[in-house]
Amino acid sequence: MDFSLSDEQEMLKRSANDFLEKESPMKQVREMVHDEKGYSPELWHKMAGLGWQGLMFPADYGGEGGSFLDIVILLEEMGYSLLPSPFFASVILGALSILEAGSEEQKKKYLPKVAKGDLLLTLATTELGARYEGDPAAVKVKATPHQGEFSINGTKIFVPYAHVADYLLCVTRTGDKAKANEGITTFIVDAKSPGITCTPLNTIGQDNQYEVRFENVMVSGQDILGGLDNGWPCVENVLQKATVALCAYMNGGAQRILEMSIDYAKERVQFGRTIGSFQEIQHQCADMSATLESSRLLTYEAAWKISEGVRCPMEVSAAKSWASESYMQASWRGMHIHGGVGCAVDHDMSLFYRRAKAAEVTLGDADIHREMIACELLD
Amino acid sequence: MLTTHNFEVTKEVEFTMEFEFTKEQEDFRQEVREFCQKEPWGDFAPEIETFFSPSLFKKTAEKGWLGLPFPKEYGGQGKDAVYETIFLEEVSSSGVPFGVVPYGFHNLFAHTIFECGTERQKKEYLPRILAGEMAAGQMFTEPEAGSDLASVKTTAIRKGDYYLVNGQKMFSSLFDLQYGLLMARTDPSAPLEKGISLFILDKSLPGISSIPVEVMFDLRTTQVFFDNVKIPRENLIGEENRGWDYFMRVKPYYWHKSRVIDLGGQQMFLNGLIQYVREAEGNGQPLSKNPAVRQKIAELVIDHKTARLLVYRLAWERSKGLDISACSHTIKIICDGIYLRFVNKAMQVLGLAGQLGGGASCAPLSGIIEGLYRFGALYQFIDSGGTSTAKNLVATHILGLPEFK
Repeated sequence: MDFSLSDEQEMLKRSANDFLEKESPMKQVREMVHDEKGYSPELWHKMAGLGWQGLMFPADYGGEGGSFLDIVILLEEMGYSLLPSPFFASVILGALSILEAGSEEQKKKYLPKVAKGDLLLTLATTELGARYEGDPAAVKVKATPHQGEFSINGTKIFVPYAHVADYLLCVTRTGDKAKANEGITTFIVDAKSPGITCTPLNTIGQDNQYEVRFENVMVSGQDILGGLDNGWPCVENVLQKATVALCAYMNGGAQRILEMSIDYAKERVQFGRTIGSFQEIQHQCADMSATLESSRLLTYEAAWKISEGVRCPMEVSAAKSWASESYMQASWRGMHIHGGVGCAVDHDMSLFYRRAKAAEVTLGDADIHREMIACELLD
Repeated sequence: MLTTHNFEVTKEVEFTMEFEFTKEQEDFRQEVREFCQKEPWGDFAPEIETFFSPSLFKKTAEKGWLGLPFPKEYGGQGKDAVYETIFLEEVSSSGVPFGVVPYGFHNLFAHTIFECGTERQKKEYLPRILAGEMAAGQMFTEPEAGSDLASVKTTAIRKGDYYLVNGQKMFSSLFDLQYGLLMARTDPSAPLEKGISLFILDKSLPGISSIPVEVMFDLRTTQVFFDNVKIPRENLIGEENRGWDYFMRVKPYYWHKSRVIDLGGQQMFLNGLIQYVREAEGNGQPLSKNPAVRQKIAELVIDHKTARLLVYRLAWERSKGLDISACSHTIKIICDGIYLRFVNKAMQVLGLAGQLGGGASCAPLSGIIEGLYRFGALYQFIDSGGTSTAKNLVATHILGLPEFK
């Protein structure tokens, strides 16, 4: 039993924090909200220079051979700085899927380029009507055999960074099976294929979510990821890992809100004293801190199990359930402590308030994860 | 080679983070578990009614489990705190009626002597304490010193070779025992926290009287009066006027151990509750199919997981000799909330039947949840000044917010 990070992980954490503070200050983060691309390609390539995109790929695919735990450490720092980047879309959702289910040829084709920062991936799985990304019954976009290839038709939503992605991993319905999680096939679709239309979605998180329409988009059987009619297990696995990565991202955000709130409470004077001396404010900060520490432990435990290759749906759901409530509560408490100034568009607090809500419902909120735990235990 | 910003690191280092127990620790858990299954712990029940069972403590001491984290030279086992945590989790999840108060205060006493006592006191008392032959309840609280404990008014004024004690204590625990751990003011002119000392009190001394104070949970507490009681000077623990520092130093151990005991209990009741919702019906279907019940059971499981991670994290910090103040406060805040939520939700899941206490023939889970719900008020609202006091300390001592002046 050991709860400490290795020296190497401590170093990764520190260097990521330093790097993001310097290269992606909050002013730039806020400006990026209205940027057409939604990220800085220059910064993206600097990150690739540090080995971040390929951190957990094996060396054979241009990676650093790191573990899932390393990625979680990095994600926490990205959440702390609210780094605007397609990292989650391309590396976590996209590249992880290829690592998980791709053929040797596919891994060699895509992963080294992802690691270099030269290729962006994203995952298109959610559709209208899905309360949760991991609901296979909501997958209705059809891929039908057509002249030796497949023709994809239908609409995906909440596809992150679809507008800049080079390839979309599109989760489609190919077979008519009794079980919702069967008869699903994932295709690696060239984003420039004719028939694809991307439309930005106006989301609370202002976080580059897109609707992607597929109209007779032709894709070869060579570009199936995993196997025909057998795409769902990979999606499920990747979403589990992505959930833990998101928890880390959320913990980073909650840490930032806590620090901002403490700093502000120390200097803001009302009623003739700094507001940080009021117990109401003190207790909110103490609660934020204690809840966040607990969230970190749950996240690290799940990440450690994933790194060890252990199936851990209970740990994943416990972590997301707790992280969702921790981040949300932090955003409320932070807003309370900042008062009016916190809701100014120019203030970071307003951005964290939006992002906390977005992260809560992404990859399942606490209710959904509690139901998953109930399924494991009671059914 | 992983190139990070400004750093070059080799990938050969193994991860240190590890959420699993060693083989030795797992074996130890198994040993405790088997012992708990074999022992007729129920035999102790009548003694437990007095809330400190000498024979249970002696039996535990014989196995070498009472003084696990204390050095061998004082009668301990020299094991680290992870072993102690495993032991406590196992005994309490097996339903051994150790009790938070007897074990918690027994160990608070032991830690106080070990961490703060003189060498003579350690040699004299620790072996007896760790053999289960000596224990002491807390005698800290006063009518006007509750959450603001540093304002204790009971005085202990040094007169040559004894201290003259006058005043009164409230909610003293384990008063049936011969000894008590007394907090009193030795320097009334010093600032509040600088004039307090701790004493080993022998209750057979003349001048001590008491009346029982009935409380709504199944604990026996006492109001105690001191009228010119002469405590021998050698019963002062450690140095004079350092009592408050001592108390702050040992309090985290009590928080830790009491929460581990709760954790084990929660595991047992959770198992019982899960079995109950599978079998019981509501509106013609098993309760386990009721969405609201499912949410509650999952919340209990998540809370239990969280509390477990926290207490093992603290155990690990203790085993490494790290500063435990931040984590112990997190435990105080989070686990207090978890305890009350736990018993509250368990009551809600049981519905009408939840209000049935022990002895009621149709009570689910032998009516234990009803008693736990009453006990639930203790942590969040009362114990160690309740959660609010802990939050004050976190804010001012750990997060660096200014004191309210």
